[in-house]
Amino acid sequence: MSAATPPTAPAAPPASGPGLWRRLRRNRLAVAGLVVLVIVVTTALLAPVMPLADPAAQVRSDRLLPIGSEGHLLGTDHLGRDLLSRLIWGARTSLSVGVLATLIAALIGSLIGLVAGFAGRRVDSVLMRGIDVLMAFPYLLLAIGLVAVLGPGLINAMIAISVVNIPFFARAVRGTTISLVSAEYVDAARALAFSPTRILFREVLPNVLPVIIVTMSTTVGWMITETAGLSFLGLGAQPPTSDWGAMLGAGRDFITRAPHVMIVPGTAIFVVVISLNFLGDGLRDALDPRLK
Amino acid sequence: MPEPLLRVRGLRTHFALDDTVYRAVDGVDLDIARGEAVGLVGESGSGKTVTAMSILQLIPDPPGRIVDGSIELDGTDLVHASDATLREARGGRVACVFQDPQTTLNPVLRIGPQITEMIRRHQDLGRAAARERARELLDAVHIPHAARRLDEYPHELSGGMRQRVVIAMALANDPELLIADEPTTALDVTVQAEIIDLLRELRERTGMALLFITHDFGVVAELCDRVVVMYAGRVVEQARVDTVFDAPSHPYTRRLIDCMPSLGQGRRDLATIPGVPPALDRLPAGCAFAERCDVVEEACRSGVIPLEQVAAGHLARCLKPGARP
Amino acid sequence: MSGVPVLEVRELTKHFPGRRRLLRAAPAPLRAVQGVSFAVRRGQALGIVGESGCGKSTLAKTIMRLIEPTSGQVLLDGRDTADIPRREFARRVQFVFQDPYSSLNPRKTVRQTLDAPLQHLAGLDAPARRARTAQLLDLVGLRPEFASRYPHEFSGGQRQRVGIARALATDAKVLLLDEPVSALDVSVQAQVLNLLRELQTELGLTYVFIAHDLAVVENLCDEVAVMYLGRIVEQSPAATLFAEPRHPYTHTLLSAVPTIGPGTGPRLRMAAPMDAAGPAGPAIGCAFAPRCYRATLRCQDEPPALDAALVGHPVACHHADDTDPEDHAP
Repeated sequence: MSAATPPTAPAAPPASGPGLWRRLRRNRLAVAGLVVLVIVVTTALLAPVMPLADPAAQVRSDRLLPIGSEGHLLGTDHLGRDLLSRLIWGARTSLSVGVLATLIAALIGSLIGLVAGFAGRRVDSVLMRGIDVLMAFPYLLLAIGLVAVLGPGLINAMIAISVVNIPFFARAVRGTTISLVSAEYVDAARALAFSPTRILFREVLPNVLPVIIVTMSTTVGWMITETAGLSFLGLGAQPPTSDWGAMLGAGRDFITRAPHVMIVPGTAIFVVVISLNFLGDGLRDALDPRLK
Repeated sequence: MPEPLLRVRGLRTHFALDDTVYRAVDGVDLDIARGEAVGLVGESGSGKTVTAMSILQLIPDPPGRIVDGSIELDGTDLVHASDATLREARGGRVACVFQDPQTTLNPVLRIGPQITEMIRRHQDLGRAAARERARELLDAVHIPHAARRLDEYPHELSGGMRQRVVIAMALANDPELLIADEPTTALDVTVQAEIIDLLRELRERTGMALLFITHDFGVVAELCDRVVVMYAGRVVEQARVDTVFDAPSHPYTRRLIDCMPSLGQGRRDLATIPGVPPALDRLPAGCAFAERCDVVEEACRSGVIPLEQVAAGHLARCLKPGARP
Repeated sequence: MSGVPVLEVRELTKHFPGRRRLLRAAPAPLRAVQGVSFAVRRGQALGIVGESGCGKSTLAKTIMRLIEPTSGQVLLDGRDTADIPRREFARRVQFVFQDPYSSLNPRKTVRQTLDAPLQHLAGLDAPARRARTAQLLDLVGLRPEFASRYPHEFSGGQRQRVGIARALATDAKVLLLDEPVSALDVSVQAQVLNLLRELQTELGLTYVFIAHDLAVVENLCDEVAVMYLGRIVEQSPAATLFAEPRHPYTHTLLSAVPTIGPGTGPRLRMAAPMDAAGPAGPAIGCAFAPRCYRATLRCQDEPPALDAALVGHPVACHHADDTDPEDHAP
C-alpha cells in the first residue's frame, strides 16, 4: 500500500472519458500541440475548397520567388510552383502516410506483442526473436533496403516505415501483456472457461490499449519524419505527387540561392512533429498517472 | 510527567489531488515516552500511516503537505527542521520498518553493504568495523550464520529473514524510537509471532520506544503498552492496552474489537459495523463516526468533539464514552 | 446429506519442473502439492490452512483446473472432472480470488463483468441477464445502480462482493475461495465472512476455503485440513482441531496466533526455527522434522503416513499421541 496516497482517494480510473480530457488540459504544451495539429489537419482537409493555386502548375517566369511575393504568399519553387499550395496539398500526403504507417505498425506490432506476451514460452521466443532481427538492422537502412526491394513509391515507403516501427509496438505491448496475464481477473476469466482468444481480446486488450495509444502518439511524429526522409532521398513520393519530404529534397539544390524553398517544408515538418510529440507526451501522462 | 520523547500536537496532513483536499490526518495529538511501546491502530484510510510518515517528514509534497501542528522529538521541532537535522533524525534517532521488506532492501546489493552504509552514514566507523557491527546486528535479530548472510542478496532470504534484516538496519544507529508500519502484515502467523517476540526482546534490551502501526488488535495486545485508535484522520481513543480491551470508551473501538474473529468461538455470525468511513474530502461536522454509531445522539453531529479524559491515562473523543446500546 | 461427496480429491499431485538453465543440469522439481486427498460433502465448508508456500493456492488452482495436475483425480459428484466439459465444470465450480484489486478487470463495469458468464456459460438473453444481474447484486448486498460502475469506484469489500457475485452468476454450487478476506480491513472482513456464511446456508453452497488466518477459518469452516510443504498433515472437524490439535505443526500454528483478552503478552511459542527446510524439503522422513520440537531419529528416516487411526481425525505424525513436556495449548 502506498502511504503517499490518501487511501480513500479514487484509485487510477480507467483511462478514458472526461477524466482524460481534464488531465490533458492541465498540460499546456499538449494543448498547444493539439491546437496546432487541429489547424494543420483542418487546413489540409479543406485544401480542395480553398482558393489555392494548382500545386502542380508550373509558371516558368515566376521561378524561386521569395516569401511574401504578390500572389505567392510563401513564394515559389524552382519550377515556379506555388509553395503555399504545395505545402497544404503536401500536408495531405505527408500526414495521411504518417498516420497510416502508424496504424499499420500499431496493428501488426500490437498483435505480435499481445500473442507473444499471452502465449509465452516458445511462441514468445519465436516472435520476439523475429522482432529482435528487425531491430538489429539500423533503422533507416532497413527502410531504404525495403524500398529498394519493393521499388520506390509512396505506398512502398509507407510499408517500409510501418515494418521498421513494428518492433516498438511489439515490445511495448508484450511487456504490458506479460504483466497483465498474471492478474487475477485473467485467472477468473479462465475459471469461467473463456477461450484464450476471448480472454486476450476482451480482457487483456482493453487494458493494453492505453499503451498502444501512447506508443502511437509518440511514434507518429517519427514516422512522418521518416516518410519525409525517404521522399527526400527520392524513394517516397514520386512526381507529380508531392509531400513535404519531396519538397525538401527538391529544394536542396537551391539552398544558398533560395533557402525558403527548403525552409518552408522543413518548418512545417518541424512544427507538426514537435506538436505531435508534445501531445504524445501529454497523452502518456494523462493516460498513465503513475508515470508522473 | 517527564517530557515525552515524541510529542505531536494538532498535526494536520492534507493531500490535494485534482482540486480536492483530502484531510488524511486532521488534528492528531500523540505522545510517546522514552522506552514506551505505542500501538497505532486503525483501518485503511484512518491516517495511521500518514501520521507516521509525517513524523519523519516523508510526506511527498505535492500532493501532501503538513498544514498545521507540531512534531517535537526530544524538544526539537521536526516540522520546520533543516535538512541536516532531519537527516540526523532519520535512520539515526528515529528508525523505520515498513510493511514490505522487498521495497526497503535494494535487490541488487548484498545485505552487508546495505547495513554498513546505514551505519557509516551516522557513525564514524571504518569499513572493517562497520562490517563487524553489521554482523553483530544480524546476530542481534537472530539471523543464523550472520557472517555468511552479509554476502547474500535479499532474494536469497525468506520473507521473515528479510524483515529481520530490515529491523537490523533500523537498529544500526541505536534509535531512540522505532516506527514500525505493519511490519508483520505480509508475513505468516508463525513468522509474525517470531518478529513480535524479536521486537519485544529488542525493546527490553535497548530501551528504545516503539510506535507500532497495525490494524490487528491481537498484535498490539502482545506487544504494546498503550493503544491509540484512529478513525478518519483523528485519534478517537487512547488508553493502556488492557483498558482498551476490557473497557473501550469509544463506540468505534468497542465495535472494531467485536468484529475480530478469535479462536475458540466456532462458527458464528460476527458483529459488523454497517456503513463505510466518511470520505476524507467531505468529513462531516461533529463526530466522524456518528453515521455508523449505535449510541449516536443529536449533539454528536455538530461542533467539534474534543478528545477528553475518561480516566487517568484514558482519553476518548466521544460525548458518551463507554455508552452501550 | 447424500453419501457421495460433492467434491473429492484423490492423491492430487502437482510438480513444477525446475527451470532448465544453459549448461546446467535441471534442478529438482518443486513439489508444490504431494498426494493430497480429501472429500467435501454437500453444504460443508472445508478450510485449508498453512503458511505461504505450503501449496494451498496451487492446490486450489489445480482443483479449479487453472493448472493441470501432475497426477491424481478431482471428482465432482463422483465424476472425474477431467471428463467434464470445461464449460459445464465452470458452471458448477467457481473461484473467489484473494485480491479484490486485481480480480476485477479495471475496464469493465460490474454489469459487463457479470454479463460475461451469464452469456457465455448460461446463454441468457439480454433481458434475462439484466434481471439476473440485479438479483445477484441483491444477493451479495450491493445496490442495483452499482451495475454501471467501474471497479475503482468501489471499496475493497464491495469489490470482493462483486467477485462473489461473479462466482455465483451461473449458480455454481461449489466455491473455491482463496484467501477471500485476507486483504480486507477487520470490519469489512467481518461483513464478507457473514455474507459467505449466509450465502452458504441460503444456497446450499459447498466451500473449499483457503486461508492462513486460523480464526477466520474457524469462523467459517466445519472441517479443517492443515497443509505443510504440499501435504495434508492433519485433518479434523474444526472444533476438534482447534481444541485438541494432534500434529506438532498445528500446535505451532495455533501458538502463533495473537489473541486479545486477559493474560495476553509474552507467551510460550512452539520452537520452530524458520528456513530449516526449503519447499523442496528433505528427501526422506517427515518434512516438518527440522522445525519440530518432538522430532526423533525416526522422523528423519521414515515419512509419517496420514493415518486415520482416530476416526475423522487423521494426522501424519509418528508422535501424535505423545504428551508434550509442557502444556502448549493456546
